[in-house]
Amino acid sequence: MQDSALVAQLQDEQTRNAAFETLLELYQKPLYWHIRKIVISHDDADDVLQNVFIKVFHHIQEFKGESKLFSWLYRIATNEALTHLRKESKKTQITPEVLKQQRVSSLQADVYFDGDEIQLKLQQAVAQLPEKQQLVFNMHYFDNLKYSEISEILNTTEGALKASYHHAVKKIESFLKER
Amino acid sequence: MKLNRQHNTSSKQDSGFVVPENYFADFSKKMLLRTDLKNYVEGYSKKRNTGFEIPENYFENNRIEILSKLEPAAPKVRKLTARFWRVAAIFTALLGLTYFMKTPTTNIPTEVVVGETDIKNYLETDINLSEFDWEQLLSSDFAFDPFGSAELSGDEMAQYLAENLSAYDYDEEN
Repeated sequence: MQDSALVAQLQDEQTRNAAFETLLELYQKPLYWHIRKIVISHDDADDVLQNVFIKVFHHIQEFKGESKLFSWLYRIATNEALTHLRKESKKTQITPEVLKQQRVSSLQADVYFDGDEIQLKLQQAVAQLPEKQQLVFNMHYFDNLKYSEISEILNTTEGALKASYHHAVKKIESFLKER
Repeated sequence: MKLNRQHNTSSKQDSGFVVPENYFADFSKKMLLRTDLKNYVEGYSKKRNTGFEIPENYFENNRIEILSKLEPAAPKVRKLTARFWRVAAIFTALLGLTYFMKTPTTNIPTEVVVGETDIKNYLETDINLSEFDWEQLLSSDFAFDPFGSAELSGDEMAQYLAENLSAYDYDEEN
């Protein structure tokens, strides 16, 4: 993996801007989809994605290469998305879990959702999971991330992640059978 | 700039075009970097379909928007007059604060006229000193000395006594 070269370019004032465009080109799509699955609404995902890249731009000097750039970006995106969800829930005086369930319930009316009935039910099933299980399920099932990658992003052991994923799948299966 | 003519000389058709030195080596490195990263990222981005949609050209527009937000902001123009008024306000506030921080005794007017009756009334009613307090006062700072430090001769003393002592006083003494 050669993300160290890109990081070096990002940390160099001379090459920073060009390297940042490369970074955007490479990572804006995967990070957008990751954020979107957490916040559900496109507008919120857009806000969060922009915040993520602006933070990355201003804090790239703090990246010491202790983890992969990919993991570092995912971690920032995850934190920003969860923080955004918490802020939004505070405004409406409900928990982030309830807020997310409400958003999923209104997906059918969302112009930026084109899923079929199964996809809608799957989103509803994911929304009723605890936060950590939602993250693990989304990253492993939808994004095909390896447990080792998720472990680096969420700072959790692979064993714990496998257990979380297993519980998540069981709950989703049972949710889908009931409906 | 040093130019690399190697490819031009080896090409079938010498067009005369040249490239910067090490251009192809750098280009390969650059492309390797980008394609390696791209493959890596795309390898993890083979998402299952979630049903979520995005507006047309969203990513391109978003890229432009983010880049525009990172441009350095125009320097702020500060008016010198604003600075003057700020300094003046701080100075005034400090002056006011100093005035109010002074002890109340400094605010007592110095030109108060105290009449004889006022002193008499004060001594009779307001002052509340015990005998001990009086003794302390008179024995120290307020020691009573009607003659001061003046030295009187025997004649002066005799004259004073003759003028001020009555017959009653003599009787009492004797």
